[in-house]
Amino acid sequence: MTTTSPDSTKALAPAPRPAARAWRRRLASRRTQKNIAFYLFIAPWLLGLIFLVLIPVLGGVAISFTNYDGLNIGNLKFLGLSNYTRIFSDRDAMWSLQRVFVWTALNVPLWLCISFILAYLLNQGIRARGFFRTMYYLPSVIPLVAVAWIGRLMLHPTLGLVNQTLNLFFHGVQINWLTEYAMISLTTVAVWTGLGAGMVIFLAGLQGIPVALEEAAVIDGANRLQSLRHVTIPLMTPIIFYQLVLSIVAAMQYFALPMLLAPTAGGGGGALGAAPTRAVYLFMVHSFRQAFGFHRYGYATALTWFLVILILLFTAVLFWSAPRWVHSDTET
Amino acid sequence: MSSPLPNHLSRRNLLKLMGASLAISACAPVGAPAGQQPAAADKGAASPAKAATEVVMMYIAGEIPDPLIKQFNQDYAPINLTRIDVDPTRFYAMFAAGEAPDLVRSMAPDIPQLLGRKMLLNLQSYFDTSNVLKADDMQPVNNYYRAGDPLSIGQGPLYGMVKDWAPDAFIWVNEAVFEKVGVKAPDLTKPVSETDIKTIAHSVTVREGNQTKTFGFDTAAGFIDRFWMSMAKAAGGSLYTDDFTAIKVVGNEPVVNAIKFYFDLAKDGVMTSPLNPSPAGWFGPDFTGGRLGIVSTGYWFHGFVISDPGPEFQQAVAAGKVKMYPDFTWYGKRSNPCITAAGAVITSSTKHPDAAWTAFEWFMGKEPAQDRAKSGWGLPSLTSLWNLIPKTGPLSSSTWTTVQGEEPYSKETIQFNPYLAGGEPMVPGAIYQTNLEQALKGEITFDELLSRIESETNTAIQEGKNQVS
Amino acid sequence: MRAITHGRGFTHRQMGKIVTYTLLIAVTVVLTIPVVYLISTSLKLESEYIAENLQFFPKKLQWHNYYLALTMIDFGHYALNSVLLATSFATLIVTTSAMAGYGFARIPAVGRSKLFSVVVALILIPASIFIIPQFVLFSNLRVTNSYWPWILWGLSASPFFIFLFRQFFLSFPVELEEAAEVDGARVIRIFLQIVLPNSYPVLATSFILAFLSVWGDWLMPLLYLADRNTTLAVKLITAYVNPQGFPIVTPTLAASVIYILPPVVMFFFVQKYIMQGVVTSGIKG
Repeated sequence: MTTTSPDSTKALAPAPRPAARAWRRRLASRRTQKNIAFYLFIAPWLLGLIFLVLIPVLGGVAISFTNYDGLNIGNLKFLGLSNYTRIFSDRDAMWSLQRVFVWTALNVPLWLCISFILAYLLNQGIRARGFFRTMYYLPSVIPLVAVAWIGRLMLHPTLGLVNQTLNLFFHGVQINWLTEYAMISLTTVAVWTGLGAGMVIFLAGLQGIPVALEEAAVIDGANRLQSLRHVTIPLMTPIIFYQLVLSIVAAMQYFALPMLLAPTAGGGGGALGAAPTRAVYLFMVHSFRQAFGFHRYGYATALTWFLVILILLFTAVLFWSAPRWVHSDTET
Repeated sequence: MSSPLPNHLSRRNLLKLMGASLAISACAPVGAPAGQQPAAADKGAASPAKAATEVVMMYIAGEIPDPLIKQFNQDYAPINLTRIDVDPTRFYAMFAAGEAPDLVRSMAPDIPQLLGRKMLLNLQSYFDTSNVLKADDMQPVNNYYRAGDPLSIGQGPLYGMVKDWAPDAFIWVNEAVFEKVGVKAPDLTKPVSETDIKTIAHSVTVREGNQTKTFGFDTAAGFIDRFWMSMAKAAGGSLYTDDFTAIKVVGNEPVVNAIKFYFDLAKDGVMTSPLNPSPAGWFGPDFTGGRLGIVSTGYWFHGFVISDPGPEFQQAVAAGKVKMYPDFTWYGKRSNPCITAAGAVITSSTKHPDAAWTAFEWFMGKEPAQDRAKSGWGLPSLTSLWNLIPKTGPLSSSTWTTVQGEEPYSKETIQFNPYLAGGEPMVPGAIYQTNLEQALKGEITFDELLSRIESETNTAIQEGKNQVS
Repeated sequence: MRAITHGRGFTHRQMGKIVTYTLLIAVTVVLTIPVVYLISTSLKLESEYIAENLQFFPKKLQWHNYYLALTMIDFGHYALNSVLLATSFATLIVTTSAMAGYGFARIPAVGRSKLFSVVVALILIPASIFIIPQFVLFSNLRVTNSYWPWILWGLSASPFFIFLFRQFFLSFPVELEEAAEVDGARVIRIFLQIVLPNSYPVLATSFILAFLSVWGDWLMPLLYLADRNTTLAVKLITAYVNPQGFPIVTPTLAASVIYILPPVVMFFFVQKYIMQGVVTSGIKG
């Protein structure tokens, strides 16, 4: 943060002496200078891209054809495509794939709808809007580890607030939220922590819609719902699209909360080998367990590539569908 | 790429870097002081100049408390012992990176595989000359750390030692729970059969609808596959083929029965399972909190039981209502081996074997070992420390009697699979746990559960074999 | 607020308001209960927590749990680790991302637009693909068990932040910079003296987002750091245990409450910018 202080910045960039300036002018054209400046400015990113992204990812592709386990560099075996074909005969991988589809199908629409509705309500000239906005956003600020503790505190089969409250009305009820109904629980917790962030983005978008447009619709005799449907939502489609793409990409790769909420996590558990309950055994959980629990780096990398290709396919389909339903900016 | 970087960017170094960069940016206009600032920041990090011999120990905090480590570092300077948390993933990563901890916590199932991968230091020459850890003082359980090769555990040089141990399947009974339920508490001083223990466990179980309110029986889920192994052995069979290249489950009667023993208890809601989770998260508080009648676990539980703060439970202890009995018989035989044998090994990549041995010898034979012996959390692995075991009081006196009675049945070691990593549970147990919920719900049959354990474990064995050969 | 509040719509609108406010308040309550219950339970006796029957508030406030939270583990040490790691990472990544963002926004050069589409693509490419290969790389470079991975990540900027900065700088009035340029100032000087000092909203927001990403992260410290080096997040999962490694819950919850505080406080600092959509300015453009 030192760079934001004007004093220190002056110090970092002493003014060039006139002679040097003339020399510079002679040697390099303005255009070359700009090119050099641009590449200097983006150099950290570019180097990072090469050394921390491209090289390891290419290395990862290589690893995915071997039985690398972290220690066996000496007798590495080339396995061809067998790490990839293994995915289809791995019952747990297929199950976790099914789970991640269910999870995405459940989580993304719920999250999108609820955060949109909240943003819409808050955009209705509400008094104390700032208060509500803050309250809705606060869960998003809570770090995941604490979210996991809160989740366990609420959903524990015997000690959790939810079941204990239910017991006041229905004696002897014990719903296994964290095991049998873990998918519903996970979705609830994830929506709870995520809707603030979603709401803020929608709200920013809604505020960009000219009030006049909605009012015109109302004057034309449309009721609130009609104006929402025919004016507001179409204008919001670019943002809905953006949120949809990013949330699907994120949901497909989801792993942390299921692991943290696993009954074996916490206390002696919580390690990367810990298996979440079957209902929320998501794909990346399986992949990370293969890598860090069982040291099957080759197979784990193959699993990740498999998922990433799937995600990219989905993204491509979404982008292909976009012109059909996403309102383009030029029309406003 | 790594050469210009100091190998460890620890917090201290990071502070130094930050200090230096702040100093540079703050002082740059003046020019000269910029050089002094980082130098000043250096002072804080000057202490390593004393050339301490760093020994790193990967161990559980509760088993080697900080004050003990401090004491060691005073008494044995310049050796500087530090502890890091146990984490198998990080252990592998550190080993791969050539910076494995010098001492590592280990259990019996870890040894064959670590040995096969040449990750252990042969300590026999150290033991030969030690006057703290002597050959004739060793309890038989230390044989888990003795091996000529990964397939001959029990004979050969020592690679490590047990910190403390016990037969791992005593029957713990909380009679107060039986009273509460209104069932006569059993006397198990003379071991009963597996059928009898099942009947007793059922009798104390209280169910409401499909939920269990009071559990009849529980054990450490993480050790379940080790129990299968010891039960198979007691019945004259084995979980693996002789060369350990395959698991034998389907059609292997002793193993099938062992798996079925626990599966049935879970299915009937007598024992905790994914469908009937433990109320407190594990059997300890369930037992002391009066929600569980019988626990099958080791002598270490004595340490937990006497330190439980619940007044009601302590009354039960004082009244002699908490009992530790010998293990039930299996196929009519008594057998209660130690299946944990938690201890320590020194890694083959250690840069300071002598200093690591000093710490090892201290941990295994001096103050820490004496403290452990007195605590009642385990039986000392050195016979000379057995006089320190707690033997008085209503609970400790009876546990001591039971321990002595069970000792003859706990001398054998189990050969674990060198192609599978240790763990709690190990591979077969993990597959059992993963598929248990489905099997309990009837979505897959018990036979399907067995064949999954078999096929998936065999895949893992094959993989492990490929990695070492 | 709006003109149409007469006639038929009036009561309708009032009804609507009542429904809306009820809904908003209900949602507030539902969203807040978990946090209130966390705080309340953090002040209970362990035995009250394990009690079978519902007891929302503790009988007597157990402040001792907070004492335990700070003393059962070396809380200060791990908190400091978290702060240092998060601060250095955030400082670096904000600096490098701002630089790259400025480059993409304001310095015309060969290949700029192609490289920028790489940035955009990287935002969309699933990050999971990097985790295992980077772990293998860092293990083999022997920089695990140190803070080097974070320094290297920080030095290599973040595509999302680059995007953010670019959008922000694009909306920045170009006249000031042009004036300076006529004056003969070099790009770096314009960037440091004119652009950055006027970019407080985006700097603060991205700094805090970066800080919180490390403060809240659990996987990376678990993979890369060992005991004394590690962060509070990791410790919160596993450290509050009895000698057998089984969790003691109420002090953990007390520690969680303390652990949540910095993010909440920081959030209030940049709340204005987050709510204005500084973070989302990209998608509005």
